[in-house]
Order: sequence, then C-alpha cells, then structure tokens
Amino acid sequence: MTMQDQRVDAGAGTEHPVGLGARPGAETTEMTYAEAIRDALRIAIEGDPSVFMMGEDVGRYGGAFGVTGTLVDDLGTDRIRDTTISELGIVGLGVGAAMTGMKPIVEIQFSDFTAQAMDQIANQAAKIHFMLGGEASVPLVIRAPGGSGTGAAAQHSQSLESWFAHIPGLKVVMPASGDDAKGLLLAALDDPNPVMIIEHKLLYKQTFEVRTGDVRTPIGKAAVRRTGGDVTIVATGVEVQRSLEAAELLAAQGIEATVVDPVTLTPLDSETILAEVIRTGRALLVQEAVQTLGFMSEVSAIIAESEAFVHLRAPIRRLSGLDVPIPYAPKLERAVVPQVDDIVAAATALVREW
Amino acid sequence: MPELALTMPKMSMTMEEGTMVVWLKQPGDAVKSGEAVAEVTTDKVDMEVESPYDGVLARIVAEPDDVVAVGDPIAYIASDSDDLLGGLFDAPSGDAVEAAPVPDAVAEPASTPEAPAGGAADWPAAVPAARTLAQSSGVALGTVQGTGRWGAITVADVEQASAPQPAAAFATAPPQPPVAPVPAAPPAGGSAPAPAAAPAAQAPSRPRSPSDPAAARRRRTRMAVARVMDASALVPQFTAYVDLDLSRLDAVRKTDLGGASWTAILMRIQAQALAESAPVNQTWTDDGPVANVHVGIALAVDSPNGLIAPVFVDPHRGTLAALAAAIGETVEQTRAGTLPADRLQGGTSVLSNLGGFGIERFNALLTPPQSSALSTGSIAQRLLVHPDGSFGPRLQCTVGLTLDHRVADGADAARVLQRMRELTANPALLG
Amino acid sequence: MVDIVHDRELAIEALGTLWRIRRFEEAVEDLYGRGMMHGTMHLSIGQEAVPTGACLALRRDDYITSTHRGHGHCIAKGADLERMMAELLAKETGYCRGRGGSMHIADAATNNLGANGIVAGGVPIAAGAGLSAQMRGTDQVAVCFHGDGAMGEGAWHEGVVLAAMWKLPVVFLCENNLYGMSMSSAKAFPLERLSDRANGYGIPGVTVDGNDVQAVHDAVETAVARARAGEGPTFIVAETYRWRGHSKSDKNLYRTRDEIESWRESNDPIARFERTVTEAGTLTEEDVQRVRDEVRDDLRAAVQRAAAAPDATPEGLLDAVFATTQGAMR
Repeated sequence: MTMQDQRVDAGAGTEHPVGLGARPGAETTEMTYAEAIRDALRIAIEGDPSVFMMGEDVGRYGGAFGVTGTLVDDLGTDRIRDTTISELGIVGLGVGAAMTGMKPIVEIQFSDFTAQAMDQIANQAAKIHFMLGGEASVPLVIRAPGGSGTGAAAQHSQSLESWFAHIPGLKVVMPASGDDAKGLLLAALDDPNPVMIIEHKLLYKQTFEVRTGDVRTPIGKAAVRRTGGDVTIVATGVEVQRSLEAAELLAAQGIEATVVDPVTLTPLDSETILAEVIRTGRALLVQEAVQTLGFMSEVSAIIAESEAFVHLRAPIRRLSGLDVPIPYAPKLERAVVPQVDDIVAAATALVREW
Repeated sequence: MPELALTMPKMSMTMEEGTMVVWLKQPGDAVKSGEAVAEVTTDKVDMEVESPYDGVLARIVAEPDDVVAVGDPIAYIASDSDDLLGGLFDAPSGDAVEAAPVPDAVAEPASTPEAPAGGAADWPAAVPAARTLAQSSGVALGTVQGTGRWGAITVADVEQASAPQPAAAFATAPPQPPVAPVPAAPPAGGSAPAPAAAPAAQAPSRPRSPSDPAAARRRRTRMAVARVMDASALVPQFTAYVDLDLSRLDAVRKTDLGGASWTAILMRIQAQALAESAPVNQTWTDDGPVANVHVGIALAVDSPNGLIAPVFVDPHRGTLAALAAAIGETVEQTRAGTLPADRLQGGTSVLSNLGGFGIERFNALLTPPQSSALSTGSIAQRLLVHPDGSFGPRLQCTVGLTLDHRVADGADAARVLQRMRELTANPALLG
Repeated sequence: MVDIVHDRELAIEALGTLWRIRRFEEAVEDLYGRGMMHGTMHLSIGQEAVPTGACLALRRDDYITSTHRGHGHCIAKGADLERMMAELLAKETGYCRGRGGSMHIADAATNNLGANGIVAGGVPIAAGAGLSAQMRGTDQVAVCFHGDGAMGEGAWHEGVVLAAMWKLPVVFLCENNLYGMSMSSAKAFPLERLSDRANGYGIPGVTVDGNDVQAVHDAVETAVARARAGEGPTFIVAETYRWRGHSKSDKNLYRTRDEIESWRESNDPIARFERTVTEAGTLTEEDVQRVRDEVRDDLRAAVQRAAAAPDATPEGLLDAVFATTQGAMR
C-alpha cells in the first residue's frame, strides 16, 4: 500500500475558503506560504519513501526563497538533493525517476528558468503518457516561483503559466494562499501526471491560516473566495489577493464583487467560473501575466462561447500585465502589472458604465 | 529465376506518386541490393530508386515522364533474393476486416455544463443585438420568451414581439413561435422610452424594414437557398431530358388512380426509378459514393416565405392515394408555415415543377448532398408523329434529370429516364 | 566474460536478434514503399550489432532509453514484433495504440522507457531511471542509447553531469554512425576519439567496434558491472554505420555511394557475425539458415496479423491525455 492510500479524507478541502484563509473542515495554524510548502514537503517525504525533492541550492542553502530551509537536516541529502545548475537535466532526471516508481519534486529556482528545461517539460513529461499509448505515466511535480514585484527585472519576474497551460498533458496550478500552497503540493503528489505548481515570490513571506496535518486542495476545482452581486472578478496568483483587497474598497463604494480563484489552470473548472459570471452578468479577468494570448484570454473566450454570454450586462474585461518585459525600476515594475487601484477602477467602470 | 516487382517507392511523408526521370540500368543489366537503378522526381526532389534485390533487371514497365502511383511496379527484377513480404498483400486477407467508420473524437463540442442557476431576475438571457433592438423598438425583454440556445432571447424573438399582430397583415405567415402574450403596449412604468406610442406608430409605415418578420423570414430563406446553391455550384452536374407520354395515365387517372394529382404520380415514378437504380441512388461523400438507404424526394414548394422543399420518404411505397393525400396536406402546411422542421430532412433527390407557369422544360440544380433532381415542365397535348407515320395528340410532359457526375454517368441517367417512360406507359405498375 | 561467439545458445539468440532487427526494418521499408505506412521512419540497418550486443549484457529489469532510430533497441530488449509493426501501421493493437508511431515505442514489459523524437531527450531520462534505481536500492542499470548527433545537445551534457556527480548506474552508449543527419561527427567533434569526451566528465570512456556483437557486449558488460557496483556511469562509443538515409527523404548528398557500398560489402554486422560463429564451429550453415527462416516466418506472421488488426480509433483520445493511475516501470 502506498502512502497516498493512507491519506484519506477525500472530501476535505473541497469547500470554498473565505478570502485567503484555510479551507474549512480541519484544524488550522498560522504560518507563512514558504513554511506551508515546507510543511507539505516534510509530510510527503516522511510519509512516502518514493517522494524526494531536488533542485538548485535546496539543501544546505535552504532554497533561493528559503522554502526548504533546514529540511535537509531532518530528511537528509538523499531526499533533499542539491543539484548542479542544470534545469533541463533536473527535470529530465525527474521524468526518468517518475517513470520508474519515484515521485520526484523538482524545484526550478525561478519559473523563468523553465525555458532552459522546456524540452523535458513540454516534449517529454507532458506527452509521454499519451504518446506511449498509456505504457507509462510521469508523476512529476515541478515547483517554480513566478511573478514580479521583487525588482529582479525581466529574466526573473515573468508569469509564464499560459506556456504550460497550452500543453496538453500538464496540469498547472497557482496557489494564491498558504493553505492552497500546502494542499496543492500534497494533491499534486497523489496525481499520476506531471503537475506544474507556479508559486508566487511575493507570497512566500506572508502569513496565512493553514490547515495542519496531511491535507489536500483538490486539483481542478476553483475557489469562490468572496461573493457579491455586481461583478465577478476572476484572478490568479498574487492578483487574487489584490482582487480581494480591491473588493473591500469597492464595497465601500456600494459595489459588491465576487472573487473567483481558478486555482487550477488546467484542467480548468470553467463550471464554477461561468456560474459566477452568470450570477452577476459582469466579468473582470485579472492576471499579472502579459495580456496577449494570456490565460485570461482563454477564460474570456470560454465565457463568450458559453451560456454566460447571453447573461452579460457588460463586455468581458481583461486586466493584465502590459505587453512588456518586467522592468527594473520599482515605479516602472509596479506600473506594468495590475495593482489594487487598477482593479478597483476597472470594476467600477464595468458596473457604472454598464 | 522469379521476377520480383520493383515498385515506385514512397520516399517522403507526402509522396503519393512519382514521375520517372531516367533509367540508370537497362534490361539485362545486373543490379545489386541498394544500387541505384533509376531516378524519379517526387513532390519534393529528384530521388534515386534503389534495387531492393540482387539480380538482373528483367523488364522496364515505366518509361521516363510516366507518372506512377506509389506502390505500383516500375520494373521487374529477376532475382533469387527473398521477397520478404511476397504474397502477403496480393489477395484480400480473409481476416482483414474493413475498418468500421471511426467516430470523430473531437468534432463533438465539449458538453456544456448543466445550466447553472440562472442569471439575475432583472436581466433576462439575451444576445447583445437583441437587447439593442429591444431598446430601440420599445420592447420590454421581460415580456419576451427566448427561443435561442439556453433560452436566450434572439433578435428574431424581439422582432416578433415588436411586430404588429399577425392576423390581418400576414395571413400566410407561419404561426409565431410560442411567445408570451404581447401586450398592446409595454407595461406602464417600463423602462423603455415612449412605451405606448412606439410600436403602434411605426407598424404601418415600415412594411419592408429589416425587422419586418415576414421579410426577415424571406431573407433567411434566401440566405439558406444561396448557401445551398453556392455549394451546388461546386458539384459537377449535368441534365438529361426526356418526354414522358402521359396519355395512358391520363386515361385512368380519374378512375383507377383515384384522381391522384400529377405531382403524386410523377413523384412516385421518379422514386420508383431511382430506387431501382443502384448507381444513381447514392450520395457522394469524401470517401466516394455511398448507397442511400432510402429514396427521399424533396418537393420544391413555392411558399410565401420562399422556396421550401419538404421531403417524402420512399414515396414509391404505400398507396398512391395516401401519397396524394400526404402531398396535399404537406403543401398546405408548407404554405402556411406550419411544416415541422424535421420534414426538411432526409432528401436524396428533388422534384421541382414549373409546369404550372407554362414552362416547358428547365434544368433543376442539385441540392447537395442530394445527388439528383428532377424537373417537370408543363403537361400539355402535343401533336406527335407516330412510328407508323400517323399523327395525333398525346398528353406530354418534358422532364429533366440532373445528376451529380461524381456519383453516376450519363448512361445511368438515361436508364433512369427510360425506366420512368416504362412506368408512365404502364399505369398498372404504379399501384 | 560471456562468450557469445562460442556459446551455441547465445550465438543463436544473438543471430536471431540481428536478423529480427534487419528483417523488421526491411519490412518497414517495403511497407512504406507500398504506401501502406505513413509519416517517416529512421532505419538502423547496418547498426544491428550495437543493440544486439548491448542487450545481451542486460537483465530484463534493466532500463533502456532509445532514440528516433530505435527499432533495434526495442527488438533487442525483447519487444513484440507484432505490436511494434501494428504501431507503425497505425493500428489500435500497436504499442502506443497509434498515438506514437515509430519514434515513440516503449515497452513496460521489458523496462524499455521509450524511443524519443528529440535528440538526446532520453539522456536525462536514463539518468533519472538510474537515480530511481539507486534510491530504491535495486541494482538495476539504465542504458541510454543515443547517436553521435546527441553529443551536441545540452541535454546530453546535463544528464551526464548529474549522473557522474551522483555515480548513477547508467551506461551512455553512443552509436556513432558517423553522421548526425548529414553532419559528419568527425567534423563536428574535433576529438581523436569521441569517447575522449568522457574525460571532461570524470567518467570512463571506451570506444568499440560497433559492428562486432561480442565487442559491444563486452564493453557494455564491463560498464554494467561497474554501474551495479555503485561506481557510476560509463560512456561507450560504438562505431558503426547506417546504410540507409537519415530518414525517407534523405538523398545521401553528404556521403558517397562508394562509402556506403564499402561498409555494406566489408562490414555488414550480420554477415560478420555469421562468419565468426561458423568459422568458430559454434553454428553450422544449417543452423544459420534455420535462424534466418524462423525469423522470416515470425516477421511475416507479425506483419500479416498487424495489418489485419483494426485501425487506431480517435475514440477516447481526449481522455487519454492524463493518466488516471500511476503505471511505473519498476
């Protein structure tokens, strides 16, 4: 019997959380997003001998963003493996190990560096199960932080989720809260498919309410984090947090917003998104990634092709990063991705003008 | 020494045929496995054809400039080499089953999620253009029953709701789709501007505006006909004509045939002749002709809404009297606009009659995917010279059979027309 | 050392494998020429001794990763000819149910992790299988077949670097057929011997005659023993030659007919092996002919059954993208 069989409580984690809090139904405690991921790593690695983690500087150094911390002291260098600086190699070894009975977790230091590893992600991990006629599966978990806001400029700040969501065979999740960062990592390890977890750098040090113990956030299920009747905001990653803040400011103006966090980009829970758009008749789609051919363009198309279309009171509105590389100067960096004020303005316009 | 075929090899992903360029070896020359014996040009480049065998080039069957399909022989090599797959594909293998047609995995759109709880009560489901129209024509959307997908109010729904009551002005129009009772004016206090005045004032003065429902319906019919005819223009088609002598039928039409209409009689003759013709009673598909499982005659009816063609399935079966009655009823429904939509499905051929207008003959165009169409001209007495030299009046009708030339040929059309003449001459055959 | 040349049973096994590979690919070529096969394929005719010798040094539970020119590796590891042929003929009964084709055949039954359409794609994957074996505490070894063209890829470098660092039980086996598509490996890599590359990675590098079954076997056997002993990876370069073009649209403009002819005439690995074992007195001419006949019959039967199988169907394609259970090759 594998460890995943022992992790029961299938229903837990399926109820909608309030804001960025923990999902209902379990004991909670406060910890940072990075600590929540570390907690999940410890639970998974201690509970299942086939789980291990590898990446650049994840051992003694503790991870570029401190996610692994001192885990190597407790779990050993065999299970928390420092690699050479070889993204393609790391992911490739992960693919090979995953095909042969292990459950590797690979950390890519910055999601931008997945460009180095893209063959193994897109041509190997994603396609092996299908292409080999089901002869093999690749239960590989890839963790990579994305997003801007750290002054790291164009090669360390991108939001590349639509690259991965565009490849059949990959599951792509974006935890917006500490609780989901933990629950999604543990759920990804149950999944027999390659799962890309795109974490957000700005969240690592923030404190969240997180479920304790061995818990799951279901992959493929959106979270309705706030409910209001005037406009439905769909947001991913750090923009979920900004949208929730914006919703409070909107409420002060008499505009009640629903905030939906897709959580999983592929396979997408469009049902929940559409139901919430139908309810309010207005859709504001917020992402940090650049607009052109971004994930929210897909959400927009899904709305336009669906029943929600005939319930729309207003045109669908995307609010995305500008189509530019992330600049260095703090003012410029802030200006190119949606901030709370931008969300408030866009939502107000949608409701007032339509 | 056995002769093994040297075939036109497939040398690239897209190659289907090759053109011979030159022979590098001549009959009688020894050839070795892997040795180049000829050059061919393919859709990509010139390539050398290698001999798969050691032996002697025995005979050449494809000369330079010949175009040869992949897999067809271009020469024979006398060789003792082992023909590894020799004989495996010469005869249809007993257990090689024709693959069943495969369903298309991706054509079917992902199922729409079950309708979630509906939208807001004050915001009925409607397409944007319908909202705009409702506002401009003073219709309260809440009073309109949507007929579109997901119950959405369509432009046509709003047009209907904004139109004058149908009774007087549109006696021939089909009954409207179910709508909520349209009040004489939108409810008082409604948000539409000038609720009482707008529809009443506009109605008589804009009979041909785009929102006139009858005109809109005719326009839609026109669009539908145009689409079909555009498709028809891509089908290679021809028409063959023949004169049918209806005198014998005429003699018994009012008596033995129970007074059946000429339309019923001609449709039955058409269907019977088509059903008996395996080559003509087929439909062209991407995979070639496919036999029709029935004969469906689409009768072209000139209705107030334009050309509409209800289908009669296997009209050569059953009694003539029943067919005549069915045609009468269907034509009435078609003209009244009450024809069920499924009556337009299943046609394999058309019957189009312009005889009533005194047209002697015309060629009917195909309605793809239907593979044939029959045109009938006026039925009239014509003076004819008989083979024995005598002459006298005969009741005649010129019919034209249009055929999809991909499905069948001129002789096939001629045989169908010939059979129609036989059936015309023998009223007893019509039952 | 296992002596294939003087062991009757092993000699018959090796000869059968050599002929199965040759015959399979000749049949593929024939079927392609008849227009019964589509796409493209990469034939390894002339290179049969490498997989044959290498796989004789492996256990069934040892792993291999293969390449776009992978029919030989598959067959030598023990794949089923009918399922392979069915895959190439786009049949539902093929290894990949018509979803992969020539470049993506894998076989869980023989721990064959799959051919690969990406040059050097299998290099890190083989290292990962080695890592898995090491972590699970088995003594399995992963053999990574790759071509000389892979030596120019970053993936080769990264896979070998990690395998060397962790002393993973992997054998990187380069089939140097002298050309990466059209690029001469002598021109591309200015090394006296390609195996000298190993020095830069701190692992042993060996060059062998890739058309000599016994020589390939011995080099791989040594490397496998080293890997099982926990001493890490070895890089072997087996020098061989592909008789056919890179793929079906190759016009052979980068090499001469004389060059091809000289390899075929004087260095056919199958003819060499037959000569060696008959001269050694291990097999008679009759034995050799019997092996050829058996392979021919097996192959014809496989082609016939594969051709009669139902075509691959698009039903369920959308459901095939994600796995529902983990199917690990342990």
